[in-house]
Amino acid sequence: MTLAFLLRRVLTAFITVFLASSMVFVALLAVPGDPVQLILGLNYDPNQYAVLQKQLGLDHPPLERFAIWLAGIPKGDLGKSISLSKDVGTLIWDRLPITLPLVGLSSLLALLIALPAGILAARNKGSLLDVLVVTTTQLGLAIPSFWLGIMFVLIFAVNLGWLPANGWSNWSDDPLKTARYLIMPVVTLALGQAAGLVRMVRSSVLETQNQDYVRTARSKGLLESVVIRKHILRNAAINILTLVGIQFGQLLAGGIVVESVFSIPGLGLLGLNAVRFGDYPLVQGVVLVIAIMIVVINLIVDVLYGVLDPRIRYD
Amino acid sequence: MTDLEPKHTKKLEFNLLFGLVILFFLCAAALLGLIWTPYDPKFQNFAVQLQGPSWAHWLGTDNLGRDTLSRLLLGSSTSVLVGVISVGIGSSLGLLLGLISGWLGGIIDDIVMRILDALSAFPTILLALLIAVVLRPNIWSAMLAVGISSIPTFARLTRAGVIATKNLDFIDSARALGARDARLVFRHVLPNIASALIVQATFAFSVAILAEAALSYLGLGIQPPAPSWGVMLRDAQTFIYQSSWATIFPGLTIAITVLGLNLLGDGLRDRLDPKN
Repeated sequence: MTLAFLLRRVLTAFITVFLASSMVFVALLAVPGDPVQLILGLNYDPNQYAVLQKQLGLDHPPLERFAIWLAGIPKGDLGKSISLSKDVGTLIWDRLPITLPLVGLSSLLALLIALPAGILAARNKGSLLDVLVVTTTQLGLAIPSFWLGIMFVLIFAVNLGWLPANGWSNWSDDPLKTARYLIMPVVTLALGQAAGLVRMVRSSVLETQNQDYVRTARSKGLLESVVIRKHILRNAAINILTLVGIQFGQLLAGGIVVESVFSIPGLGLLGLNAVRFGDYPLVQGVVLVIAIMIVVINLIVDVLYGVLDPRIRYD
Repeated sequence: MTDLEPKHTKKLEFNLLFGLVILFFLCAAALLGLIWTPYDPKFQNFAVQLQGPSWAHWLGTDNLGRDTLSRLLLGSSTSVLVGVISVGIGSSLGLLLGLISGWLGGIIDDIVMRILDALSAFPTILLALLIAVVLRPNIWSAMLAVGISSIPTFARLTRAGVIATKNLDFIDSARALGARDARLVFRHVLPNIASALIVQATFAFSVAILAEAALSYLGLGIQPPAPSWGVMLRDAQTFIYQSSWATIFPGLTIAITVLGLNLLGDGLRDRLDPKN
């Protein structure tokens, strides 16, 4: 992998972030009516109007506002929330210790399920096990995560009473309690992701094991376990890595749904409540931060791709 | 491998058949829901709150005593409407962008691709948050969000198809015979990628139905009292300690519908795409 490639890839990521920020900004120019009046209601004090207008930065023309907003992003300055009267950046930062463990643990669990299931299914293509795995993934793709979550609540909270139905407790108070709150959300999010991953792992292993170099490795008399580990899995891993990158975006999005099902006060619930209160600076911030995370993850995956597979040439 | 082939074809036909049956029932339910339902889907009968299945109410009732089957039927009309319109938005804009980008190439291709990259950074739910805060959450904001988020897939698919065909010999000979760009695209390039687009539209339809349910569940789509499968689950979850029936049927309906449409997509792909 060359330095030129790395630089170009980073540059593209910057352009993507810039375009994504522009989209978020432009979308909000379309808010109908006067946002200041919308917040203050019909009978407002003109002085209050001027203060709020300045606070929201609406006393500048759109292009200038865009420049100010863009300049704030690298500093983490995303404006002020209307409904919570705090900095958007701080609000988002405070929710990360809730959302990131949820998403991180889910993706880990999804991989722990999907890798063995996908590899086993591919190694035994056409067997009963394979059919079972493929059928289960079809079901997994069709069942909406929020319904799966509700069914878990029905079984493990309402009927068995083993786990709390919803809610949250801070990590610093009692980590064990927090873990109990996290079990159902993590499993819900992970199962939905695992369904898609299993299919991808299976097909990339199937594709790899038909390659010529795998046949060559076998004909050299290598142990089957060595062929699987060094020739099939190593190469399939490159495809799987890309998929994990793509999935991460879906996980962050799925996290919003799961946070809502289990009333977990993370980034997703922050954004949903912001919509309810018409708090558009906060929505803007949440959407942008998640979009940037997705672009950065994709960048990392692309670079790792080059590291894992020296055959890949980018020019 | 040869002994596997008949089995494979049978499975393929099963996917297609099962998918078509589900699609038929979905469309029939959507039409029926518009003209007739066993009860008025919005009629509240407090004498029969949160009941399980019975002869009077086949799938039970919800927290306001409304008939679940009637609400599911009317909800299917909503799902189909959102599905059709959002796939319409996504496929038409995606097709247009893909054609422009693939056919013209060069700097225009670069610009379109960068815009699509940026758009791909927003999963449907993020777009829905953004659009809902601008337009207030309703059926239109949901359709726009679902539609826009499917643009990149349609555009990339079209672009790849255009690039793969535009330099083939038969295009050159048509051009040599005096065919204009528009004729080349519509008579020669598009028919070559039509089947891939049909398969993609089937999957996009299934994704749209799932997304509408999720958005309505989150309060970002259809607003109560209008029945939507997502709204029904949201209501039912609140009363889960009193009755579980209301949480079961809307979820099952979504799952079976999406399963059917996904299998239809698989079946169509195996049938239409010679590469598979």
